[in-house]
Amino acid sequence: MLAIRLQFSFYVGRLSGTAVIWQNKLGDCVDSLKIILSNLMDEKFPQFWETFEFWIFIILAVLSVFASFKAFFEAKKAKKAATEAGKTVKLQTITIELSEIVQKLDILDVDIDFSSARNFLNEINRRVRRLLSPYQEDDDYKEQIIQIREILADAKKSLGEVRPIESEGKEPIAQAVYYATESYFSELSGMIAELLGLFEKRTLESGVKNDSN
Amino acid sequence: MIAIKEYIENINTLLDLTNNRKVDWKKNNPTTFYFESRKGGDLVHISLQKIRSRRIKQGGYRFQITSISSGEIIVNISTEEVSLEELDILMDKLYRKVARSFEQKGLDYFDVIINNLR
Repeated sequence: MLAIRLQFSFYVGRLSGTAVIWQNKLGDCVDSLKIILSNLMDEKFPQFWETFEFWIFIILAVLSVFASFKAFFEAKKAKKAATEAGKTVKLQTITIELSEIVQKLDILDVDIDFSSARNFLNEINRRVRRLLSPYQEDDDYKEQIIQIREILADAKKSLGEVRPIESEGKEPIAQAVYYATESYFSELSGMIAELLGLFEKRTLESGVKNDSN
Repeated sequence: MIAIKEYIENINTLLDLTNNRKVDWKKNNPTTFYFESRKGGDLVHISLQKIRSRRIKQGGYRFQITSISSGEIIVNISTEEVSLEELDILMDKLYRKVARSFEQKGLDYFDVIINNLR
């Protein structure tokens, strides 16, 4: 019995040892397989950042982003320049109209009657206010525009003071209307001329800025 | 203006005549008064106009004699052009006198209306 047990233990021991050896060998095989597979993968499927195509793509992508930004800023600059050019053209149009008004103010007829003076003043009032209203908050022109409005209001008041009272058939007093309004029209002409100078200055400055851009 | 002293003298006389109600002033517009006279066969207007001016804060006056038949302006004196204090004061007195007389005429009318209502 003891011999059988001893033999059994011997064989069990030999079996265990063999199992361990085989386990170790299997483990080694698995490890080798892993290494082989890994090398194969690396060879057949390299990391994406190691590929040539990746770097080409990256460079192209960066260039595209850069080009997009540049295009955006260029478009913004172009829009600004177009807006400035539009403002300059508008300013030039206003300058031409105001020059025409100044010429009319300077050749006021000495024998102008009340109706003609009233119509003339209404026309000047309307045109000047329309032309200058976009700039009335502009600090460069605010003072002149306020003064122009005051002169127009005073001229209207003064003209009202020579509105004829007498009935038709009576002769009006010669040149009364002219003398009532002459000083205001003269002052208005001067103020508008001053404003024209400022507009022309801005037009020149815009032109220089656009040329340098 | 060379003969300004003589003009001032005549305007002074006109003021006296106005004070004595010897002049029939008419109102052409709220700031212009005139009266008619004759020089030979020629009808003339003698007018006095108060002028607002931005050049002179208190304004000024314009005294004018106009021939109606020819339209010629025979006399044209402006206190803005002739900067003489004596002339300013005289024109101011004359204007106020004439304006006041028109206001008084209006007031008299108004008083009659009010009295009739009572």
